Amino acid sequence: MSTARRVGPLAVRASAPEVAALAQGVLPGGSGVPDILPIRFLAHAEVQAALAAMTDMARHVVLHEAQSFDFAGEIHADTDYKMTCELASGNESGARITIESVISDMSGTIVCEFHTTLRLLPVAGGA
Amino acid sequence: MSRLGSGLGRGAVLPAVAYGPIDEAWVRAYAAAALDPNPLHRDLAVAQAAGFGGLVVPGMLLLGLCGRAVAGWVAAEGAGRRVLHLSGRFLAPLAAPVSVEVSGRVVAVAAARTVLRLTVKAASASAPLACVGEAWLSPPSGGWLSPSPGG
Repeated sequence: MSTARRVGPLAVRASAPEVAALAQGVLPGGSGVPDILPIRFLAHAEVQAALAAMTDMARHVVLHEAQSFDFAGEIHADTDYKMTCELASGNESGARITIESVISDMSGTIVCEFHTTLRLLPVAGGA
Repeated sequence: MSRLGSGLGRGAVLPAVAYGPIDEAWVRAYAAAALDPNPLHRDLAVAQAAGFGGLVVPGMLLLGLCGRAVAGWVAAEGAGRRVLHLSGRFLAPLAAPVSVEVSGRVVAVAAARTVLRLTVKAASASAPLACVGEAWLSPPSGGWLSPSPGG
């Protein structure tokens, strides 16, 4: 059985200290805006709620299987963006959830499209 | 024939970059900054229950290190290229502590982009490949990708 959900548009933003913390989380002493910054926006409560609704977390752990980013512009700290996400799950290729996300600036111009593939692993002893 | 150096011509093998050891503190710092709620990166008991020997190093941390390596190669060339695309497939979860090496090779050069093939492997000779990926670079001082139609 396949399911799909659309989330957004959501308001997303990362402050300069948050971007700096991510740069240093990737590499201690690192600086600048990491290419992977958009992944942070998937922590938005509405995205996480959609994921939780599609995943039986009592029976599974989630492994990040693949990720891609396509950049059509720069993403800056302290700047407001809008993000939409299309989540889909199905058994065509095993227990996986895919997330197609688009980030646009406030004028509607797309700055990044990114694709996330999560694999669900059964937990030993899960109900 | 491949060549090693700072140039980004077709076939160029880029200088490998070593990172680590990535320990539990590093993984936790990344997970906190990335707002990654996955307990495999935060809770040792959950990671061990899932069969891992330590906290699982987030794939996105590895891809972030790929981005750092690419930035270094681009800076060494000094031609002002942009990263248009960065992708990775995470083949084998790594448990902390672990040291990794990011390698790159130029596999295609076209008018619109230069394509790098990326690999991340653990320092241990017996460890499987952790991640394979790609980075697309703009031409020197080039522009961005056009968004996909209807995207």
